[in-house]
Amino acid sequence: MTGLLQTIIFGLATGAVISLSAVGLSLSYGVTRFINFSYGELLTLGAYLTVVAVSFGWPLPLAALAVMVVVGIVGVLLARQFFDPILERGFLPLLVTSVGLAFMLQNLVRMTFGSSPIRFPLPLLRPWRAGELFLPKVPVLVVVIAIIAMLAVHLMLRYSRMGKMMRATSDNPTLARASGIATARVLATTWFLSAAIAALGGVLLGMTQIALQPIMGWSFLLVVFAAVLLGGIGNPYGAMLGALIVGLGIELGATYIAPDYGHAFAFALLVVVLLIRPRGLLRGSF
Amino acid sequence: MKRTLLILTTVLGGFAMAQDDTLKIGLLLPFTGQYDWVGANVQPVAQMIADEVNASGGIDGAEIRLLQGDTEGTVDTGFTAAQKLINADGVLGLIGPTSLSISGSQQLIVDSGVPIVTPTAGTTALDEFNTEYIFRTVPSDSLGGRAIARAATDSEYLGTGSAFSRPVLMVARAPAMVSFEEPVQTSFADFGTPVVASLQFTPDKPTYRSEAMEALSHDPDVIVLVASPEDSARIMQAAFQAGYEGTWFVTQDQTTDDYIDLATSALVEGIYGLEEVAAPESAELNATFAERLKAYNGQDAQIFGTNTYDAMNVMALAMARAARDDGEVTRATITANIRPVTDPGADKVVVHDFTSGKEALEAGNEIDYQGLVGPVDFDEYGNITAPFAIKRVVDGAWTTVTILPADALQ
Repeated sequence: MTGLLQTIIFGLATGAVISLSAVGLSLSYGVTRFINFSYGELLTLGAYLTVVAVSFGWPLPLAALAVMVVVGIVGVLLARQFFDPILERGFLPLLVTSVGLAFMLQNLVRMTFGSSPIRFPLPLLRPWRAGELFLPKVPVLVVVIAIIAMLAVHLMLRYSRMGKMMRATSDNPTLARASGIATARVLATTWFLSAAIAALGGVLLGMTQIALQPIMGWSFLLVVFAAVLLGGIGNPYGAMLGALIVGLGIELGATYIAPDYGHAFAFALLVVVLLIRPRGLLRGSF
Repeated sequence: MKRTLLILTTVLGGFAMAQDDTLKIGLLLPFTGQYDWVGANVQPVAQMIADEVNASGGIDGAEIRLLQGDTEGTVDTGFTAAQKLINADGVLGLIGPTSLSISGSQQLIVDSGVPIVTPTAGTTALDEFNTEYIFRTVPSDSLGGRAIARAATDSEYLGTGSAFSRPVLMVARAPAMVSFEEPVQTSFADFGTPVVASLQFTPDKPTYRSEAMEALSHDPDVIVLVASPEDSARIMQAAFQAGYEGTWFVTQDQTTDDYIDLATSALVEGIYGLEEVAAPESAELNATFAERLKAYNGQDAQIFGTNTYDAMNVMALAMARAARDDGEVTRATITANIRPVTDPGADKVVVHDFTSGKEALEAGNEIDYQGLVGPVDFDEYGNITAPFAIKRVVDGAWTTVTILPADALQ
């Protein structure tokens, strides 16, 4: 029983990191209808730039917030340069461009920081202990941060003017434009939010992985995609739900089947759900 | 127009001729990717020796030229890089590869008859692979694994009151790592303390909670961890978070200051590590080498630096002897001259560098190259023996606890 409880806690932590990252990806897909393969590199940038900020003496929370803004701006600039001009040209040019951009960014990080792993600046924390149960502090912190961030996204989408415009654009871009919504501004805001959330996802991934590598975001992208697909692509709430299932699936599979088959178990779940509900758990818009 | 073409053809032809006159040695190593540090550590040392050879007049007047073949630390790319160096570039010998990529190219190397002297491949796959073309100036992982077991089961080598009694082995499922599994398991059993469990795990995972929990379920008092530095840091962190209070024994990749920074000194305090060291009689030579390299490129010697020094010297001296005795430097004559310049012998002149070796050869003597890693006396399969240091993190820094001489591993 203790083992199961511990596994569920770890599963929630894994799900929380995937969830937040998936929300960012889903937001941009919801508005642009394009899967951004360079999204993982924004996670990597977030983690690495946080290390840089902390090395200048900034406290970790402040560094993470500043990096979210910086990566958000980088996200907008990259989108303006690489995606916006070809947004109407269909799926394939965008796909190839985003994969190319991913490799560019990944190698930029490698050139700047080197290939050797670097440590995410998190102090070593002993777990809380309750009898047989060890409750590590970092995963709990990760879950709390992810919940706060996702709550903020939810409030923004539901109640802010920009959130409503984003939802309207996601539902029907042509109608939104005809209704006087400045879709270009909505698009820029979406890129910013998506990249800023990715940066925070990168920080949480860094807290979980400890050792950062230039390829970390790219490697993580597969599970983020899985969560997005499972939840219903384009729906941030679906992404949250999908990520939770994937995260728990990975940890339960790793613990009760075999450590090497954690991801296989999660993806088997994904296949089963998609066979029953081909469009994912929730409808693909927000 | 015709005149321009004629000049161009002459210049290019002359350039091609000049290229062909050089003696090409391939550096078959990872220069990019996760293990690019291996190429970065080896290349300057190899170039330093090549410069020494060329400054001394070359091999029978011909200069040595180094060509890079980037394996990226993978089997597939390693095979492609080896093919290019061997078949397209026509190298006469190879320095490298590493254990990461050798499985793809080892048969190609043998079939092509190109001699390799590798400073970087400790894999047990080479222990008894070939008696003709493959030599290495790095000890086999078999010896490394044996050294870990020897030290972990003998309190004298650990510098503590008691040896370990419940070792668990964790090995990353990667060619360079799995190579340690069998020697460690066998050696622990040989020394009377069989491993409680041996676990393989997938490398490059973001977290290793389940793997750590599985290892801890066997109640170990030491975990022998064979993995990359980043995976090691994650596993040790995961075990710490799960309440593990035993210690660890790690391999050479982690016995560095960088690893302490990566994993944090609080996490690694008290852990043991293995490091290949120079034989005590080579200590002075090693100090001289370190000074020379510093003067050459301003950098300190890194992992595989001493092994590379020996590998390049062996290759160059074999070329020099081939030029003297066979009148030509080919793959076959280099191969045939590697043992004659390294095997011990009563009437031989002992040399420690290329220049003195070349002088001795030109004076009509036979030589016995003895290097930085030890006497460099290859066994039937081209392996060497070397001592190991057992290190421990004390007050946030690696310190040597004891030296395991090569004969203690028999």
